[in-house]
Amino acid sequence: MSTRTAPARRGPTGGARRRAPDPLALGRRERRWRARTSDLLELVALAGLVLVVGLFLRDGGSHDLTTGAWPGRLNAVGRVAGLVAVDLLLLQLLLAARLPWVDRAYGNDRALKAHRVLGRITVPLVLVHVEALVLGYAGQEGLNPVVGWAVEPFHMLQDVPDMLTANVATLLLVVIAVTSVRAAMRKVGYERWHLVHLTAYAAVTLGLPHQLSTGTDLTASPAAHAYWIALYVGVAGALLWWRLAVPVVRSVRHRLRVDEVVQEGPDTWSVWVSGRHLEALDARAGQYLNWRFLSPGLWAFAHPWSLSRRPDGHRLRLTVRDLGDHSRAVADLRPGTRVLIEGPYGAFTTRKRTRSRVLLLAAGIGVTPVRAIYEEIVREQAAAPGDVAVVLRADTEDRLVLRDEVSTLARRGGHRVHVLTGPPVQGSWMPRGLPGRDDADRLRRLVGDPAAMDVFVCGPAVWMDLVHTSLRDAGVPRTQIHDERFAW
Amino acid sequence: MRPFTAVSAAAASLGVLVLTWNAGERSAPLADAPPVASAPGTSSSSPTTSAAPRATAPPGRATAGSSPSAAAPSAAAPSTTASAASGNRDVTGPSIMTRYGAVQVQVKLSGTHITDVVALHLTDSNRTSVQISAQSAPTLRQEALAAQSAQIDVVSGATYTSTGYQQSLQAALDAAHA
Repeated sequence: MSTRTAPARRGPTGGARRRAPDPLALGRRERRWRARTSDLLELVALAGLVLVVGLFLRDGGSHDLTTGAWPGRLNAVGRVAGLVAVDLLLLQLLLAARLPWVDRAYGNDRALKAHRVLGRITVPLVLVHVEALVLGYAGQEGLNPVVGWAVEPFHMLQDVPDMLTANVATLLLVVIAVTSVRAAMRKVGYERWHLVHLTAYAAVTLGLPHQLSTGTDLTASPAAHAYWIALYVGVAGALLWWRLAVPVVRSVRHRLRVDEVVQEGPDTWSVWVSGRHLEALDARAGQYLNWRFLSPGLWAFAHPWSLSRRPDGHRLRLTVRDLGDHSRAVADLRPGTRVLIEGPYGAFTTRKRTRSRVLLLAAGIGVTPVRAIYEEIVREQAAAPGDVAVVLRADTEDRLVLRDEVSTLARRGGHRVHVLTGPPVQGSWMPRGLPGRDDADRLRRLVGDPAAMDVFVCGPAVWMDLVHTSLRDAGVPRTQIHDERFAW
Repeated sequence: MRPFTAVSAAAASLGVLVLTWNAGERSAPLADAPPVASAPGTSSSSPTTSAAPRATAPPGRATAGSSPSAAAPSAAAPSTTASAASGNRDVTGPSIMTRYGAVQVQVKLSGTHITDVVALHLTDSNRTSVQISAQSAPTLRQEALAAQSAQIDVVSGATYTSTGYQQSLQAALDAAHA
C-alpha cells in the first residue's frame, strides 16, 4: 500500500501530488466542499430570517414599532419576537434532523451544539412574544400593566382564537428548555430528557394554529401565508424522511443482529454486530450510530456509540463504557438480538485529512472512533513510518481501552504511541510530571511540532477544550483540528 | 462562513431590512385613513375618538390608529342627528374599542326602517386589519340591512370587526328606539 516516496511529503501541501489514490487531495477537495456547502446552508438560514423580519417590517412593523401609544408598540415587539422565534425553532428542528449535508459539512455533533445554542435564544424569544402581547393587549384594553399581566391571559384565552394550543406549546417549550439546562439534564438522565425533548415536535405543531389565525403578518398576503405553510411542511418532511424513514429502511434492509459481546476492560464491552449488505451502509471510521438493541432494558432508547473499528463490510463493532446509565445492560446482550440503527453520522473521518502528518489524541472511552480512524489511516491511507503519532490519555492503566489494538496498528505502521496515565490535573489535559512549560510545550516535546499535522481529538468535553487551547497555542490552524463531541 | 460571503450576506440582509423598514413606514399611514368612507351621508358626527389634534400634520400622516382615549371606557355615548321632516334620522353608535382598533357605525333610519349603515371607523391597528375591515364591511352592512337589526352573523376572519360592528349598531338602534 505505501508506495510513496520520502521527498513527496516535505512541503506543506506539495507532497500530495504524485500519489495515485491521494488521500490528501481528497481531503482538500472535501474541505472545499464543506466550505461551500456550509456557506450555502448558512446563507439559506440567514435569508429565511431576513425574509421573516422583512415581512413584518413591510407589513407596517417599522411604523408600529416607532409610532403610537406603547401598547401598540409592545404588540409590534411581540409580533416580531414570535415570528423570529418560530423561524429559529424550525431551524433548530432542521439542525436536529440529521440532514446528510449538514452532517458532512459540520458534523451532527456541531449541528446539535448549534441547536442547543439556538435554544437559548428561541425559548426566551417565545416568552418575550407572549409577555409583550399580553401587556400590549392589556394596555389596549385600558388595563394597567400589573392587573393586565394577571388578567389579560384569561381574556386572551377566551377571545383570541387558538390561544389554548399556543399556551400548551409555550409550556412544553419551557419544560424542554428547563430540562435541557446542563445541570438539570444530568439529573434527569438521557432517557427521560430525550422523551421530554421529543415533545418539541408537538410544541412546534401546536404553535401553528394561532400563527395562521391571528398572525396578521402571515395572513397579510397569500404569498406570506403559503411561504409559512411551505416552511412547516418542508421541515416536517425533512424530519420524517431523515429521522424516521431512512433509519427504518436501513434497519430493515441490513437486518442487524448482535454477533458477540466481548469484555474489553473492567467496565467496558465491545459489541460485534453483523447484518446484510453492510458494505452498502456507507459507514466510515470515526462515525457513530444511534443503536437500539431490542432487548430488555435497552429497546426503549437509542444510544449514540462510535464504531470502534473500521467498517469492513461484514461486521460492525462498537465499544461501550458503563457510564451509569443503561450502557451496563450491553454486557448482557445475547447473540442474535435484533438491532435498529440511525446513522451512520459524523464528520469525524479521514476525509478531513489534508496533511501527511497526523496526530491522534484520545482520552478514556474517546479512543473508540480514534482507533477506527487510525486503522483506516494505516490500512488505506498509506502513512509512512513516523507520519502518525498517537497519544492515549487515561486516569489509570486499566482504563486504557483498546490499547493493545492501537499498539498493534502502530507496530504495523511504524508509528509511536504515547501513553499518558495519571489522575486529572486542573487546567491541563496531561498528567503531572511531564517536562515542559505548558501543555503546548509538553506536546511539542512529545510528538514534535504539531503545527503541520492534522489532529484528530476525542475525549470528554472538558478535556477536549483543554486540548484545543494548547493545540492553538502550539500554532495548529483551526482547520487542522478535528474533533467529535458527544452531546445529546 | 467565509469572510467574503459573510460580508456580502450581511450587506444584502441589511439592505433588505432597510428597504422593508422604509416600505413599512410609508405604507403604514394608510392604516390611519378611515378605512371605509361609504355612501354620501346627510350629516354625520365625526368619529369621537380619532380626531387629528395636529392641524399642521402633513396629509396622510395624521395620528396613529391607536386611539388616544384607549385607556378610557371603551364606548362613547351614541349621538343622534334627526331630520324631523321625513322621519329620517342618522344615529351614530358608540365607538367600540377592540384589540385591532375602534369600531363605530352610523345607522340611517327611516322611521324604524334601517336604510343604511355607514362605518365611521373600523379596525385598523395594522395593514391587515385595514384589509380585513375593508373586506368585511360590505358584508356586515348587507347583513344588517337584510336583518333590519344588529342580529348579524360574524364574518369569518373578521371576528373583532364583526363584534364591534354589532355592538356599535345595537347601541345606536337602542338609542334610536328609546
